[in-house]
Amino acid sequence: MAAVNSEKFDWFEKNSFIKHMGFELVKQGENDISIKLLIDPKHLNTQHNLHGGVHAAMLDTIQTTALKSIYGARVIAQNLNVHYVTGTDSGDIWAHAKVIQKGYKIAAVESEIVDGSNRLIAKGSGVYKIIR
Amino acid sequence: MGTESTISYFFDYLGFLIKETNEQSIELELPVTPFLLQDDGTIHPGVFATMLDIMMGATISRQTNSFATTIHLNISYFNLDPKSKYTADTTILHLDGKCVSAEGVIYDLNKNQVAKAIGSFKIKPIKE
Repeated sequence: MAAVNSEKFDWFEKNSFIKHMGFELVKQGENDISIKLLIDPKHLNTQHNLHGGVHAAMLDTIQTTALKSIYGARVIAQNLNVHYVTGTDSGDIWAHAKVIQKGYKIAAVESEIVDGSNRLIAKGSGVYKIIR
Repeated sequence: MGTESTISYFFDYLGFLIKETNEQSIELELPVTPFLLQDDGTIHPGVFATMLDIMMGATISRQTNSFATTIHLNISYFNLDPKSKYTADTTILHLDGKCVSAEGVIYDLNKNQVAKAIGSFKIKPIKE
């Protein structure tokens, strides 16, 4: 597992919201890109669980990353669907995505977040517009 | 998960402000700052997801005197171009003893809808 250093992912480093959230892009296999987040107290809600907005932001980011790596183009979220499965409050979590429909103008992606024990934390899907 | 009793640490971290509140509802304001933007200059969709989750969770919490835990959230994005400020409203669509369905809308300064969500929440009464 290694940090990704490719021009293809320069945009990731330039994205100030991604930096602000603490998302880290990692490569787990030849074509397997993931996002890692070390949960910090700033990511929590008042019940000391990971805030629902963090899951949503992470799922959107990995879905966008998967699409940009295929299309090499700008993509814009049209819809994001999130199922919150298990609460978590510390340690590393990982997001993975799979593109399920590659259209000319529209694409659909599914994604999930798991913790270090491979426990499913959240499941997402989204529809994106491809800007050519 | 997206549990809201009042407002969260994450809420502060992204820079949300509570503008007006009463017993039935709250109104959130989001001043746009550079760290909410993406490399292409648009608002990150996660920012609107956070705003909608906070608004719906906090409104349900107040109206039911319960902790609200997000089970599901479906968000449609209409415009991610940054505007100077956003506000959000919530409507509770259905409520029973354990589950609540709610709808949240984010508006720009001209009252145009920029994102809309429907969410399902589990509620647990707050012990006095």
